[in-house]
This record gives sequence, C-alpha cells and structure tokens, in this order.
Amino acid sequence: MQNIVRFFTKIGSFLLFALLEGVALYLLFSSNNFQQSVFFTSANNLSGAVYSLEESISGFFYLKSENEVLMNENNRLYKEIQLLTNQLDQYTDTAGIALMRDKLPGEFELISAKVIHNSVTHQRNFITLKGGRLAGIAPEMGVANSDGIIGVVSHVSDNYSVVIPVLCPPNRFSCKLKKSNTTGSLVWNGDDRRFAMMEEVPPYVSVSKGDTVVTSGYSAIFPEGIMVGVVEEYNVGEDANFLTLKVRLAVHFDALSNVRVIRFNKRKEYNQLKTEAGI
Amino acid sequence: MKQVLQHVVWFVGLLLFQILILDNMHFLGIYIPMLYIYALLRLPSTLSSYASLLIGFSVGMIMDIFTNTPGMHAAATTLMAGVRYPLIRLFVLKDDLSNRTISLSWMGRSVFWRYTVILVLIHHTTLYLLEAMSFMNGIALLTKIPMCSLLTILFIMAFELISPKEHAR
Repeated sequence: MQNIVRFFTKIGSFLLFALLEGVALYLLFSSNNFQQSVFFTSANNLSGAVYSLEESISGFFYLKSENEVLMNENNRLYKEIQLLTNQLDQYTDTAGIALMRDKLPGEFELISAKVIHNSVTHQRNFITLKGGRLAGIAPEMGVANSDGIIGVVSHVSDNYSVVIPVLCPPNRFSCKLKKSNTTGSLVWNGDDRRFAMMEEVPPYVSVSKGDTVVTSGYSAIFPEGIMVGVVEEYNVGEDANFLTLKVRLAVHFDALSNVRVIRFNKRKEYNQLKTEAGI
Repeated sequence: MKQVLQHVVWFVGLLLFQILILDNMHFLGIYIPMLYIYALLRLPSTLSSYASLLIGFSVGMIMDIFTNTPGMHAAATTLMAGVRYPLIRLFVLKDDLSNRTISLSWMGRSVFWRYTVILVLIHHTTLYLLEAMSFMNGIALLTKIPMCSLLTILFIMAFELISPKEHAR
C-alpha cells in the first residue's frame, strides 16, 4: 500500500509537470485561439494598470524629446496648412486682395511670386522672392498673401526681389481700424514675431480686443482694406497723447510660401503729383 | 508564515523589477536579463514538487501576460521548477536538507553556482528556443541564450553579494 502511495506521489508530480507544460505549450502554439482572449495579454486589467502606472512615471523622462517631435510635427503641419491655404486662396480669398481686382479695375494688378528665403529670427528681417523685374515687380510695391499684408518690395533684380516685411523696424505701414476708420501706423518692436504695434492712434477712439486692423490705402503701396491683424491688447503705450495697440498679425511669418505682389499702375502719376505738391 | 510572506514579497518585487525596469533595458540592443527566475531559485529546499511546479507555472504565466507571449515563459519556468528538486538532491546530501531558503551562504560557493548556472541555462534555453520556434526569427535569436544567461547570472551574483549572510551550519 505504501509503495502504491509513493508511486502515485512520484508519478503525480510528473503528471502535474506534464500537464502544466502541456498547457503552456498549447497556449504558445495555438495562440491564435487566444488572441481574442484579453486575459492572456497585457491588455487585461492588472497588467494594463501596471503598465499605465509605468507610463505615467517613465513618460516624464521622454517629455522633452516628445515635445521636440510634436513641435516638428506641428511645424510641418503648419507649413502644410499654409501651403494649402495659399493654394486655396486662388479660390477663396479671405484678405480680399483678389476682390479688389474687380473693385478697382486697371488700377491694381497682382503678380504671384514664391518666397525662396525668409528670416524671422533677426531684429530686421528680409524676405526674398523668386520673381523680379522681368515678372513686372518693382520697388515700393506691396506684398501680401491670403492672410494679409507682408511688406514692401525694396530691391529688384531681373529674377529676384527683396521684400522688407512688417518684421523690419523702423519701417512703418499705414493702417486703420476697420470699425472706426481711425488711422495709425504699424511698426514691429522686434520682440514677438506674432505681434506688431499700431501707434499714433488718437486716444479718444474706442478700441476693444479683437477689432480688425486693415490697410488704410493712404499710400500708393497697398489698396484700402487689406487685412493686417486683430487687436490683441490696447493702451500699452506710455505716451498719453496717443494710444498704442498691440496687433496680432494675420500673417504667419514663419511659414510663407506663395505671395502676391501688388502693382499700382498709376504710381508714376501719383508720385509726380506728390512731387508737384511738394510732399 | 513569516517565511511565506518573505517569499511572496520576493516574487512580487522581482516580477515588478523585471517588468518595469529590466524589460526596458536592452543590453547591446537585444539582450535582457531574466532576473525574475531568481525568486524561483530561492524557494525553500524542501518545498514539495507540486507546489514548486505550480508556483513556477504561475510566475511564468504572469510574465507571459505582461509580455504578450502566452505559454512561453510558463513552459520555461515549469521545466525549471521540475528540474529544481532533483538537482538540489543531487548536490546536497539528504541529511543536510532542511527547510531553508536556498542561498549562496547556505549552500556554499561551488554548489550554489552550479545549481544556479544549470537552472538559468535550462530556463533560458527553453525560453529562447521556444521564442525562435514560435516567432520564426531564426538562428540570430539563439545568441540570446548565452548572452542573456550571462546577464541573468551576473544580476543574481550581485543580489547574492548584497543580501545578508546566513551562516553555514
């Protein structure tokens, strides 16, 4: 009897071993059947909880590189959006520059050009366009894209031109508040490329955040009513005689690609008149 | 009771260490030490083979659940648990067998390392052979057996050296 018991305990442990090995190998080699079974994978509650705890701790160590990846991704998407909007603006034109072709027939003409170099990080920034004298571009022409004004052409070669953008102080751009028709002049303070200052606004004007700023049309560079930006903050200047408005620029200077050069056909006449008047 | 609790703490601690830290360490790109089997090595010398097998299988299964390889670790740890008791009997005189946690200081250097190296090799060979077979990654995986065994043994060595010494009887 004792021998039988001993035999069974011996054979029993071997049977248990064989059984467990069998179960393990069955699970391993027929794992197709168990792919539906969440219990045997790291998707079950316990392992899910342990792994999410691990992620919540180790995630901190990757925040920096993760941020970089996201930032690059953002920039890429941003550029893509800009590209697509610029393509789209041939059909829909939020800044209204295509509209003015109809408004002022013959007076303004649009020349498409591509940005081939663009700086935003310096104190005085410049943009280079592909397209120059041969394309009909000349100094003192305005440059805009579908978002709003970008700057003024300063130098032109046969095939290229240099643009002084808003982000190049002390150049000033004549602009006005769309709501009250009050004029001021736009200048960049060299700080944040998203914002510029609208100065010389009379203090009695009521301004609120979100008011639209457009070009005034007082110069021969831009026609009236092209988008400049929206008021972000007001009353930021120290000067009591004038208001200074912080304007969020409509144009994203980081991502310029296709722009329109605005050609004023009656410039010669206008300039002649100005010299005659002695301005 | 206190001893049981100690072993449970070792198992949980080593499994967490394995899953949370070691599995994220890829020495030379692919080699991972499998330190969790250290808890199986340390089981008391007189533990019945049933309990030993069941514990081995469960620990392997827990690893499998975390690494999404149902059955792979379980097969290796069960085999290891099955071989463990005969191996202890082979190395240690029967008179010396008492209910103790297996450790370097109790078994002595030469016996402990023979015991450890054999069991680690059995476990790793099974594990990586099964991995190579079931995932069809071929011969390259087989370099894992010596490399990972070496890493595991180094880790066990480190743990043995820092653990408090038990005086040999």
